[in-house]
Amino acid sequence: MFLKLLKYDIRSVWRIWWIAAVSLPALSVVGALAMRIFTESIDDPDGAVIIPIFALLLGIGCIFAIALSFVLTMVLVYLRFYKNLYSDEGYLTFTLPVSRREIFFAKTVNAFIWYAIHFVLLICCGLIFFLIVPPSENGKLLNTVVFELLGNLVRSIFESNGLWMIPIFLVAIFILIVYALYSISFYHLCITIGAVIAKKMKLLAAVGVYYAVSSALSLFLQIVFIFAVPVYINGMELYVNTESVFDTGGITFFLLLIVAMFFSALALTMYGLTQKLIDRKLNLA
Amino acid sequence: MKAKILRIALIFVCVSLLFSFTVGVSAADDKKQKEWSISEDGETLSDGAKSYTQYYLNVGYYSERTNYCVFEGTVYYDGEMMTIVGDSAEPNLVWLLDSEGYFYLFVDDVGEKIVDDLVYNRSRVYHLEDGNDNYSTMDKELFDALNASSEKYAAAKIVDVRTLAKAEMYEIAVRDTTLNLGLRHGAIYKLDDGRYYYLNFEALTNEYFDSEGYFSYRSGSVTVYRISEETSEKLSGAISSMVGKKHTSFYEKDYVNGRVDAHGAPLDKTDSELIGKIVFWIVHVLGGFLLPIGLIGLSAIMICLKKSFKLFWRIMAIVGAVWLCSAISITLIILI
Repeated sequence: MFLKLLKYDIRSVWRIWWIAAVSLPALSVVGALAMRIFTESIDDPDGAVIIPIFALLLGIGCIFAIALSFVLTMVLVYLRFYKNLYSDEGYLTFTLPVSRREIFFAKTVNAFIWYAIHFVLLICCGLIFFLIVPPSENGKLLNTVVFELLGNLVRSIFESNGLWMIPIFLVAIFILIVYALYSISFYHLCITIGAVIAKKMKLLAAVGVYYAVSSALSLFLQIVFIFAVPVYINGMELYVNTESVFDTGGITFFLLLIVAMFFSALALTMYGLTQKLIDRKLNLA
Repeated sequence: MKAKILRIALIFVCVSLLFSFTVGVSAADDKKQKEWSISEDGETLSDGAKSYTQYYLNVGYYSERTNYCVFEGTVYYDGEMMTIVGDSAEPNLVWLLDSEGYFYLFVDDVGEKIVDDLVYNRSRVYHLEDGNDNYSTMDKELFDALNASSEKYAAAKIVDVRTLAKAEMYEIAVRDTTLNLGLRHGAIYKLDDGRYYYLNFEALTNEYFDSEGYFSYRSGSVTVYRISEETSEKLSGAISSMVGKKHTSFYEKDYVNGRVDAHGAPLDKTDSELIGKIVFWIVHVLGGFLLPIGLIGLSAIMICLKKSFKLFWRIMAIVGAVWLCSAISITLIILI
């Protein structure tokens, strides 16, 4: 039953999201070509000025559109969450022969899947940009200079961290996953609190709750990451032998693991609170 | 009732938004790496905050930096990448050095005054230097007494420069007040008669010098002046009190990181290091041990008490355990 819930959630988002899936790569190609034209025509003293200006504006416009496309995914996913649970559709949803936990878990997994798909799509768009934008060299159409630079960067990071690079890379991916889940849980919690406290204008209440909670949370996180973390790192440098790859690589790995656990705890807390609100407080009668 | 709650919630939101604007203070950091750039005409150098204009010195002036700061940045000038050094980490004088050691001098307002004082003889430091990197500082009285020797025509002697090249020699250098620039004012030679003779380079015409402004000992004759007995005694005192020259340098990053002051002198880090270590352990114990132990404890209690949400609390306990193990691992790496 859980898979069926997931299937319908995915399908409801896909109905509109496929437009983004087709548009974004096309926008990337157009934007990359525009930037390529800009970089190549800017050096041409005899060329018309209007061409590089137009190309630059088009390129920047495409980049903005690609960057903001994530908002579309979020809107589709969270609108689905809100409508399926807290609007009139919710009456039907909660009559389904599944527990509220399965319903909420399916919504969370659905959101995560779309986050991941959009992330992959953005990476593909980035690769298109890196491939097309650099001016051609030696008569070749495509210039892979950016990939060579990335390769050199990875090599230098590997040389400074040694074999610790592999666990560091894995924990970095884990942090990305956990941060996505924290973000999803946060939005779900805000929407749920808005639905619980407000009879009408639930979405507006959800926005208000979002600003309130995110302000409090960002205040706490800023205190941690702007004050405590630099002090901690500066103090640690007094002890750590920065010449030793084992020391620097190992400490980097365990610090990243602590960051991952911190966000995991936050995500779990928000998930648990939302679940509790759905189980106990939500009254659609 | 719910409308009242909504009103209270909206007031809370507005107040929170007000407070959110006060956040964003980062730890103050006075020292930042300088970002160097040079104007297209090459006349103005900028460090991101201050401008330096190029100062053209006549041939003969040299740069012998006693203590200088090597900056991280470079600039492209006259067809090559130039290293940037300054008389301190917050310099008044800045040199662009090419790969062959040739320099271009840039000064700010204070630096311009310092160099002007050297060039226009307003404020100079006088050094007596041998050929082995030793020197002593002469007072102005001795310098004036040496200069006065050249006004006594009875003490004049015409000497072949090759004789001077073989004689015991001490150069008189005039330096700026920062001791980074100099001009070879003259020299003292001890000839075969055992007496000291003075030669003023600044009074000579160009044919006595090579293309780089150094006195040429290749050929020709020059008039030197015998120094009086009284002045010779003072000179001997100056010669015997010579000490070795020190040329030290330090890097901009050490200044930015607070290890040295603007002149390269090490800062006493004892107190700040101790405070840094104490604060580190406080943050490490609080964030690395107390928080996860609290999380594990709370999870354990909730698992025992609650019939529902057991999976949630089990996962929380695992998160806390991994957190705690990571903190322990960091502690072990630091201490071992």
